[in-house]
Amino acid sequence: MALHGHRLCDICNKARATIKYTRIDGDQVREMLICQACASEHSPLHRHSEAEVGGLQKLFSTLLKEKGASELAAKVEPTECCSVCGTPFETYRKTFLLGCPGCYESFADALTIDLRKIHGAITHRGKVPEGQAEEIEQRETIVGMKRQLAEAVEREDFEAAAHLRDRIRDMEREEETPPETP
Amino acid sequence: MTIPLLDLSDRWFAGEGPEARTVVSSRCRLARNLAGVPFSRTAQPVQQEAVARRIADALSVEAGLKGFQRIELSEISTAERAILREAHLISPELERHADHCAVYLADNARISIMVNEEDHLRMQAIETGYRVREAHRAIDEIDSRLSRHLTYAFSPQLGHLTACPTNTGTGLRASAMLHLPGLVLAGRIDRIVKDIANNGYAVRGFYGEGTHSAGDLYQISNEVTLGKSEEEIISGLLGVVDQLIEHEHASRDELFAKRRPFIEDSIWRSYATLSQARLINSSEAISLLSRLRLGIDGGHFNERLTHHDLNRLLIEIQPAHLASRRGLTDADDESRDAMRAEFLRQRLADIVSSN
Ligand SMILES: [Zn+2]
Ligand SMILES: [Zn+2]
Repeated sequence: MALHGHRLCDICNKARATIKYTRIDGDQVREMLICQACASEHSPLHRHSEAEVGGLQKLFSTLLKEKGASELAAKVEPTECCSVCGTPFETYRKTFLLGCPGCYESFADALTIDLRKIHGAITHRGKVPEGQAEEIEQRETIVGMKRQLAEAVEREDFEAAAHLRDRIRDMEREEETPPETP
Repeated sequence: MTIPLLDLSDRWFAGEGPEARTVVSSRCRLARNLAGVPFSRTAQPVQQEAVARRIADALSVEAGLKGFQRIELSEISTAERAILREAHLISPELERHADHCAVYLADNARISIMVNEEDHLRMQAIETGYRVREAHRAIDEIDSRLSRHLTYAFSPQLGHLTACPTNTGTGLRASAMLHLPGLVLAGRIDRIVKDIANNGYAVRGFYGEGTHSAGDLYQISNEVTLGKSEEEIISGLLGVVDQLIEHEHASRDELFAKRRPFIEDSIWRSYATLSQARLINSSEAISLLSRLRLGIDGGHFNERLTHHDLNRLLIEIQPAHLASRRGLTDADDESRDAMRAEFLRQRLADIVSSN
């Protein structure tokens, strides 16, 4: 597929989706990603623009006619809720908004797919917050060493495994002790 | 509480800076959330209050972050909120959800920090002209300072965790607002917009919809926020904008070389309408002002009219700004169009006579 790694338009399902739209219906908010062509054709309200709401309703009625309401509903994945904030997965699908940072873990499978579609990647390569850099570096190392430990066990290099195990234990203990406040 | 009338001589309206002929302004926005708290739209009022308090504390203890003016959205009128939105200092989202929302402004509104928008923190820096890197540097510095006092919702794997997955990772949206009358008049805009969209950058009309933007103003921004560093995101955007500037210049040169009477006619007809009309709606006014901008760039107004004048006019002709000038909070369409026409006639006469 030529458009591999990109999310496709929610209307035509052909072109790459580059615009986020919001429909506000009473107190229900629904977001979708659509392509440039469909955006200009249907002239709906861009979330961050000052266009009229009327166009959006037009967009949605066209959308429902084109795809059929049942088909749209069938796209919604099974009902589960975030274990941290209780936001139903369905709400995320409707609004394209997550409830809390914990949703990223609760809905990890679906989000991995979505993030890959939107960004073509799932690994952060940008700035790390100053206050968290050290902590994160450490955790990263623990993760790395655990991987090395598993590999050492696999090839039955028990000396290396024991050494790694001790270092991991030390680092985990260090992480648990709260840092001294000056 | 009343908001002090916005000073439209503010820096980012100046209409100066690199490539000011094509690039009106540059902007960088960062989305951040506090760890362990639901995102703004899910958080309980108590949690939203706590978020607002923690952000206020962080801003007050960090020495480099003094001098922010705090505007509590629930304490100002609907009309005043609309004024802030028209001046691009708050988003429509923040205008709608005023409770527990605030905006901090600093450095003549060049920096704005929205609290309890879709994300707990939406901070942006705007610069006049083509200065995306400068805008990023300014907001990055504020982010670094805030991060010493706030624990962000951050994952080593995914980066900054944001309410919408379109912002996950760096949370960075870098953009440039471009005036592209050459490409529009040459009929090349649609293709170019499509090309850019296929390359992972979003182009949207600044006023209006799709590829047809009133005023020929287009905002180009990055879409990808995850898997690239901030530097890669910005240099990618600059690459796209550089090309657009080049195409725009080529189109304008060609138009002026081959169709000078047509272009000049459209510039002067626009001036005539703007300085004589008795009723004018905002989309017509914005389109005509675009031709005046082209006229400024072509040296047609002998510096009597400047980019700064135009940038101001684009904001001053918006409904809430017009109404507030008359001390009104609202007006019907026709009287608003009449007020707009009167305002433009007067303004253009003042500008032309004072210079
Ligand atoms: Zn489409
Ligand atoms: Zn959650």
